Amino acid sequence: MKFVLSRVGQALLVLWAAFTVTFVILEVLPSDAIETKYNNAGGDSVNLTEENLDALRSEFGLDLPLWQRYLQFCGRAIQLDLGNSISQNRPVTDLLVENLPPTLQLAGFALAVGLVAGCAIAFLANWLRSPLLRRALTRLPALGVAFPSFWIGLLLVQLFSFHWQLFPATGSRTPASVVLPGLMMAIGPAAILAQLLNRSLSETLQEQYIVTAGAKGLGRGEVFWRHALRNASLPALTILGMMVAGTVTGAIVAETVFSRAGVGRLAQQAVEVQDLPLVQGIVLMAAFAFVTVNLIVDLIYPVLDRRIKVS
Amino acid sequence: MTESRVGAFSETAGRPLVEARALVVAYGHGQRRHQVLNGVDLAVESGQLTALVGESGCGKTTLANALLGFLPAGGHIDGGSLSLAGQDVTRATPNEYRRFRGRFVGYVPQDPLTGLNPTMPLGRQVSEAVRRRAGARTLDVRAETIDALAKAGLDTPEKRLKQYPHELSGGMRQRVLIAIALAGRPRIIVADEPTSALDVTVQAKILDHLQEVARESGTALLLITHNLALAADRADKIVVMKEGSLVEVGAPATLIAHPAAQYTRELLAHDPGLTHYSGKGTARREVPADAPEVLRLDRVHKSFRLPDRSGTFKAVDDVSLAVREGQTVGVVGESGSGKSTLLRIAMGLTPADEGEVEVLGHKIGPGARSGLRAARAGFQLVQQDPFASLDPRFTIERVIAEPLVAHRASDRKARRQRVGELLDAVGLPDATRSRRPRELSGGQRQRVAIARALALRPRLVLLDEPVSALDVSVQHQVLELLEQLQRDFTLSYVLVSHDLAAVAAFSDTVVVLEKGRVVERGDARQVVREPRTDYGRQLAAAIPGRRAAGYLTDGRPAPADWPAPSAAPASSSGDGRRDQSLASVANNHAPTLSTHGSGTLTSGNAAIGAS
Amino acid sequence: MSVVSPGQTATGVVERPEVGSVPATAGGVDGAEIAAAGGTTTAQLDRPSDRSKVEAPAGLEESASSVPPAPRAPALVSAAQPARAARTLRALAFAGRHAVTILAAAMLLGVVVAAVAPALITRSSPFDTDPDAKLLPPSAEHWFGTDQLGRDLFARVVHGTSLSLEGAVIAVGLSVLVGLAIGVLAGFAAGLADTLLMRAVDVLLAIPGLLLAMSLVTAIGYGTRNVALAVGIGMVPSFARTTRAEVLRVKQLPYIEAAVAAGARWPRVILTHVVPNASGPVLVMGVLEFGAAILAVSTLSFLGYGAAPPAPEWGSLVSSGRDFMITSPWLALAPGLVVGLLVLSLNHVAKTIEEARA
Repeated sequence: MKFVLSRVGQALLVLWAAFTVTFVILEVLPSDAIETKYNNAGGDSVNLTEENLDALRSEFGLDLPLWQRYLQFCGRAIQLDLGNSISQNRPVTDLLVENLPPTLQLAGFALAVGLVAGCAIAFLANWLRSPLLRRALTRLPALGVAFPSFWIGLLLVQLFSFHWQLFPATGSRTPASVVLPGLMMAIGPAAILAQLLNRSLSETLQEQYIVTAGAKGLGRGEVFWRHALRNASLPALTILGMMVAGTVTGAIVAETVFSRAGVGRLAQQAVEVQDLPLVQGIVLMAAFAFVTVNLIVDLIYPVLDRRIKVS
Repeated sequence: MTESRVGAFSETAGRPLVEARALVVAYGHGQRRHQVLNGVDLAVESGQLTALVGESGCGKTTLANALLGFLPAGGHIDGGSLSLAGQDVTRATPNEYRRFRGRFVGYVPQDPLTGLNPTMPLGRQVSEAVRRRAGARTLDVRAETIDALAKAGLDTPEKRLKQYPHELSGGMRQRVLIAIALAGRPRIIVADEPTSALDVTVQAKILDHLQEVARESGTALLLITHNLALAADRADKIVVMKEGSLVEVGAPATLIAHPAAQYTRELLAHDPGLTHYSGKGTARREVPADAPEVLRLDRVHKSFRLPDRSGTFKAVDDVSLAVREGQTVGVVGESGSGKSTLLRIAMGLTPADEGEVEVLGHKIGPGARSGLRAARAGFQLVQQDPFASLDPRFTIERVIAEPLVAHRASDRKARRQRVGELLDAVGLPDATRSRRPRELSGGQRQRVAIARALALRPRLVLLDEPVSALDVSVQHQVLELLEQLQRDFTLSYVLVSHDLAAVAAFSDTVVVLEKGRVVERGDARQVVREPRTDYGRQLAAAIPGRRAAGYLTDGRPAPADWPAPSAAPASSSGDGRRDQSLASVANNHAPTLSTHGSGTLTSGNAAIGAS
Repeated sequence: MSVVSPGQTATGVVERPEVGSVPATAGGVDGAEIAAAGGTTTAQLDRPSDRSKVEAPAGLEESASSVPPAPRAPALVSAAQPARAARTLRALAFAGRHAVTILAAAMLLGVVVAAVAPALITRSSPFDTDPDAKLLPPSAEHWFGTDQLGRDLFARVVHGTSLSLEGAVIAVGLSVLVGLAIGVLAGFAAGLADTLLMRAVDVLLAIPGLLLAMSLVTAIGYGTRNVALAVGIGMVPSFARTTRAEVLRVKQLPYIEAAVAAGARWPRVILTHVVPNASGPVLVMGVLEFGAAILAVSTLSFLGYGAAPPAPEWGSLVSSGRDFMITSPWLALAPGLVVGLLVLSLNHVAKTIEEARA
């Protein structure tokens, strides 16, 4: 119990620190969202006077001293109030909730495909007997790591939408529209997972206890399933948090390439108009996803590996 | 393989359980072919203990792997034949091999710390093997698992079922591995250096037990070891191997008494255990009582915080020690005894919590930091593992010259010359200076480490298990070199080791550490022959070679009445009771030992007086 | 790099320098081989540098001499010149064994030349428009085809190299400097300083790299330099962690203790033992991160935060080519292929270094 509490505490600490970091980046550095919005947005916008701008600034609480704004921000964030979006004049939380479902669909699909593909490649690279196939599978992930995801996305569009016309190239309404952006988002994490798991699995298969298991007379499959896989997948667990948090990043690119609605698109737009509260809200959400998944991994790790002391 | 054919394993009467004829094993093909076994013959008879003896790289492990069908990738049988239970398996596929494993051949690996699956409860790991037994379907697997654990000598076996490997000590883990090997009721168990990763006192217990269980169940044992004395103590037949070929095969009595091969003779001559039991140890010079003290530790304490911060443990607890000029003081203890920490405190590498350390007149401790570095010239360190103690990126010249550079002791030219002298002193050719560590063998590297330690002409050298990473024959050479250097340069040594026999042969005075405390100290021969404490007796009794020394026929009466460790009262209980029985054996025979001891000592002193 | 964000290889979390890299295999080749089969660009680069590469490492030829000769070789053996034939044979055997490494090295060499002196590679101008040659498909004259204004795409890619790499160089330089400093400090300081530094790094890890970069770009503005700065900051954690892990590993090795026992001062020990021996994995990491930085920078400029449009930055080339995906897919695909092959080559070289040092 003490262990759980301390881990939760640590997670909250990281979250708070991430919050502070984004606050510092976005608030301290020289930029003015109000001016950006009202003076730089398009050619024929009304040119506001300094006075008007000041009034607007105080409306968004931007005229207060830094530390007061920070405290105010912290106080609100605890109540899940992330302030108002400057560009859209709506609460950030509402915007996030609104845009979350399509992104969650996409991320869920991508994570599922990535996990299955990554595990399958690593498993087959160690299970198959043909040296040729083993080598090919071992090297395949290098491609997924090296090529830019937006390029992979465009290639998928070219092949599956334009050439074979199997899946739509844009949109977010039909279930089929998830497939291509989902695949695009899945390839990177699948490749990284495959590399990590493959290495871990081939190292595990060299362990002395694998010999012990074989010496009992167990078959290859029994040795593989019962003794190698579980131990080999433990190190891979640690990148799960990063994979999940990374889906936010992936969604930014995927939703741009495939013109889909979602949090990624929202982030992209927020950055373009320097909508600080909105950017901050999205960063916090991603950090929250990362911290939560890592917390879960931290909590179940000692159950899977008894050597990790719960203290 | 059907159940009925499994039964065929028991009908091999007349033929050996395992039979290798002119077995050739090689790695790779064509120009990259590398042969590791050059036509080896081996026969293991039912119910016998066969010992396979050799140094690293002799092919003993490859042979064991071959008969388990476990040759690593690229390895293959390239000639000769191999049969198990009378069936030819030279060309067997992995699947065909599988039916022999567990049921016919059991296996006990070398390192108990890595031999068990860390994330699976022990009960399941054993029951997996039980289920492979012939007719397992009708068995009460749980009961059989508990039975196997109990047979392997684990107390409260029911409790062990749910435990994980990391909850057990190394010795207990090795017992679990033995339980796994036994669980399939094999006809033969292959044990590959089953105890060399364990502490000496545990080693003896585990081997005794393994031997006893095997004898009770009529299981043959193939024991792979680098220690000829240990093999001779226990085996019915000894097979000596070198560089992939057989050197000599025979019963221990004949092989020890009349070794036919030069190599066997060398191994015998350099075995510290045999030397100890046969009382042939060379006498040592006497250090004058008024020789100046070079190292003094006075009531030194050191505690470390446990890694999980749950508390502290005392690594060194109230230890005092004095070394006089020209003297060698041995510090003996098992892992966790604090012997290495003590050495590092003496070196000034680890600060003591309490107590005084004085080296060559310099006080080491808080506040004395600045003088320490300069004083270091006078006392140097030789570490345990020569494979890790030399920076792989340095040339040997740079390695040896490092202390000179650090102390700005001489100019470049003088350094070059000094390196030459040092290489000569440790018996390495001058050309070695341009090599890198990885091009040298373990023994050569340790010579380089010794040369480095001598570069600044120190008066005191601290030796941290200087030979434990080396092969038996090389160990002897390095120890001889150290003795030679001690005579030439009037060095004082502190030798830290787990090997009581080796320490006793090399040192003037011995200190025995147990859990950070000194439990015994005194004249080296006295301590090893007449230990006064229980722990000292355990250590002494664990020195292999007791029975083997009896076979030596060099004019001394063979002490036929010395019991071999395996003749100790049968006991399949936990470690605790075993300790007592062993200790009592050692106790009963201590007088005999001490007679030998004092006899040699007297003659030794006489010899010194004459010279 | 779609999900695990740029600049944040998996290494950061699991503290294993090899994670982000290509897994080690027994052979000397990796996925680049597969890419070479599918990609066309490398084939053009392979021949000229092939020879120079073979001649250079004389020492390596020795090690390759035990290798059975390449199957085609005997036909080339001329009886009159046995010594030369043997040399050719060895060279071919070497080339056969290290084909992928040679290809990767050639790719890197080509990219370096393109960055320093693009005119050596192509004579076409990246800015000259040609109304008669709009949207031409790839041909012998225009290797990557032409864009909507008739500009030669290959020339644009080649001339865009320095701009595209500038960001990656700045990013890696920044993250190496800051990451090394933090890592070495944390590794040596231990205790509270170590904990604080590593916690700070953890926080940075919790924010996905691309998002962090985007926030920074929001605050400091668009442009190659700013993007590079943002990417560099995002990559600091992995460097800091790798460096720290290496320092901790090397610090406890017996030869460090031997040096201290011999009387060497700590600065000397750090300079002569710790840094050289810890630098290997950090170097490998640096090469890998360079690839990751190229990907991150190109992703950001693909999203429109990088160099302004007329500049032929690779990511923005892909982005502007998107509008012609249906009619002229090469416009978007060719520059991206170059990025992919470059990163693949970098990863392969990193792996080769890693193996050579092992």
